[in-house]
Amino acid sequence: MIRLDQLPNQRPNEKVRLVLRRCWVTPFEILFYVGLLYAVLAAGVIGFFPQLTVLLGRPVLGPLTTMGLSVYALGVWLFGFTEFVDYYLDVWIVTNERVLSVEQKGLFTRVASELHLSTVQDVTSEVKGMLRTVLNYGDVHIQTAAERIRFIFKGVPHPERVREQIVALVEENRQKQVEK
Amino acid sequence: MTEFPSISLPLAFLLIPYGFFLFGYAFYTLFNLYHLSRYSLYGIGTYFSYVLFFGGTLLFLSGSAALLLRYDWTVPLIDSETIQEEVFPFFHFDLKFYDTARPASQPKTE
Repeated sequence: MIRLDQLPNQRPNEKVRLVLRRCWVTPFEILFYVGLLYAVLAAGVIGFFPQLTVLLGRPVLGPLTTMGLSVYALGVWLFGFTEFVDYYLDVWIVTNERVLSVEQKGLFTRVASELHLSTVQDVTSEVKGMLRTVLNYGDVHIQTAAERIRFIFKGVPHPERVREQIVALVEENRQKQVEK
Repeated sequence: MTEFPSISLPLAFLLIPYGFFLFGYAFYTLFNLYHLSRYSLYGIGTYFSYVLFFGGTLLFLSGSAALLLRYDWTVPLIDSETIQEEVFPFFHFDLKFYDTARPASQPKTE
C-alpha cells in the first residue's frame, strides 16, 4: 500500500498538499448499475415466483436454474468490485515538490508517473457538460515545458480550486528555486 | 414420436462449467485484491472494501451452495426420459407435430 507519509522517492522536506480522486459520481454510477442489475434479478424472482418454485423443484432444470442465478449474482458482484477497484486506484497526489499520477486502466494495465513542479508551465481546468457544471467536477490539465508530458486529473471535484492550488504551489516552488 | 438416443450423463457434469466460472471468479478476485493491497492508499477505505467484497462473495456462495446441495447430482442429465419429462413439457412442445418424414396414411414399420 502507498502511505502518504512514505511516498515513493520522497524528498526530505516534501509534504503532501492534495490527494485527489474522481468525483463521487463515479462510484455512485457503479453502485447504480450494480443495483439496477440486482433489481432486474429481484424483479424476475418476485414476478415469476410460482413458476420459479416449480422450476427449482425439478431434478435437472432446478440445479440448472440455481447455477444460472448463482453465476448472475456473483458475476454482477465481481463486475461491481472490478469497476470499484478501477476507480479507487486512480489517484493524483500533489506535494510541494511534484505531482504523482497513479492510474489503473482495466485489470491488467497500470500507469504511474510523476513530474516536478518546476517543469509545470500551464494548468487548465475544464468543466464540460450540464451534470459536471451542476455538481462542480471536471478535468485539470497540467502542461509541462516538454510538450509530450501532459497530466490530466480526470473528473476531480472543484477543478477550479485545484487549479488555483497547483498554480500557487508552482509559484511557491519557483520562489524557493530563486532563493536557492 | 421422436426417440432420443439413450445417452446417460450424470447431472454432476454441470458442475464442470460452474467450476470453470468459479475459477475465473477467483482469478479476477485475486488480481483485484493484489492491486488493492499493492497500489491503493493506506487507509480504512481499503480494508472496508475488502470486508464488503468478501462479505458479499461469502453470502452469494453460501446461498448457492445451500440451494445446490439439496439436489441429487446422480440423476442422469441427458437421457430420453429426462428430456421428455423435463424440457419438452416445460416448453409445451408436441414432438408428434414434427414427425413429418412418414406420411400419416403409411403404417409404422418396426
